[in-house]
Amino acid sequence: MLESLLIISLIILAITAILCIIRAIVGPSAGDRLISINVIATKAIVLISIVSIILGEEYFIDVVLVYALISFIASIVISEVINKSWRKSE
Amino acid sequence: MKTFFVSILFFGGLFFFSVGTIGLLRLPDLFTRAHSTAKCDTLGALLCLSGLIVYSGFNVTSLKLLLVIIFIWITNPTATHLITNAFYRSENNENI
Amino acid sequence: MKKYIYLFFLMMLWIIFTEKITIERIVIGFIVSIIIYLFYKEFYCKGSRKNINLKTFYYLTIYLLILMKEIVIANFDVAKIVLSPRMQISPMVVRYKTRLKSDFNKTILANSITLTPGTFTVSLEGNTLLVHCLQKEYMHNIINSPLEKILLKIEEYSLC
Repeated sequence: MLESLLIISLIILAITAILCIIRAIVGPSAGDRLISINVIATKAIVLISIVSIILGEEYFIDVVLVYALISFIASIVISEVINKSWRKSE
Repeated sequence: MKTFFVSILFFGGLFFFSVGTIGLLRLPDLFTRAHSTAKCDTLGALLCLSGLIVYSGFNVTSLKLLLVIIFIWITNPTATHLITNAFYRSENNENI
Repeated sequence: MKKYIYLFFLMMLWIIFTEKITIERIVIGFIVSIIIYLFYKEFYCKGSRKNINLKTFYYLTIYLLILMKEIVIANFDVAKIVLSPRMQISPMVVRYKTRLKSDFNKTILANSITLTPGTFTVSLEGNTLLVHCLQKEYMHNIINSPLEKILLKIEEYSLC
């Protein structure tokens, strides 16, 4: 019963992530793309932890921790690069 | 009982995730899109991960999931703030 | 005193990461947390003159409860705006001066303004917060919000 609920929620999360990719492709400026990639990263964190609970493999949670750190640092670095490139062109 | 709690938490989390995605697709502007994603993602991740904590019971895995929740709650508003800050400066040509 | 609390937090994190308690793991964790403490010493021992007392914890719990309530209200507001067929939004940017002194409390206030209904922080420089509002009515929510008053009370009792 609960296993099927978890699998259904996996499918819904995957569909919403694909809808976010549409915004990342269409998005007029780079900021829209950055925001949608950030949303996809949050969804991937939840998705990996659900997969690890379903399979019973507990070491996937460490993957989740490292993925959260890396996605945060990536969004910081990209926004800082955009900020600096704008200042240099000034 | 456990089934009831876990399903309620998961339905809430999935509802807020889908609301955030619809907002990302429908709203007209970068800043309004950031509104919808910053709020809905934070609460959706909280509800889904706490549903997983209730499902797996009390052990080391649920402690690690609690750490992930705290980390998301600190970093998600900060990341949104930094992204919008960079683009606000580049659009308005102003040193705040 | 503050040093031992910080080392204790680092050791708890290490024990959660390694999952089992044996002698070698605890020795390795102790060495690693001392190295991390020596790297980040100047960030943590700056500007802390008084110790943390019980009243701070009391106000922090009240703060967390109010924040949870505000976040749930904020999410239903966003859902109402997004799911209605004709979206009624009039975005605007407001400048807002805080009375808070320490940097840590200012950061907490900026992060929780992002999570409260209809508003989020664009920039924080000196004393001025630049807040983006989704509708005009939400502006009054920030100006007399209970969150800043609680943070002011925390600042009176201890510098955290």
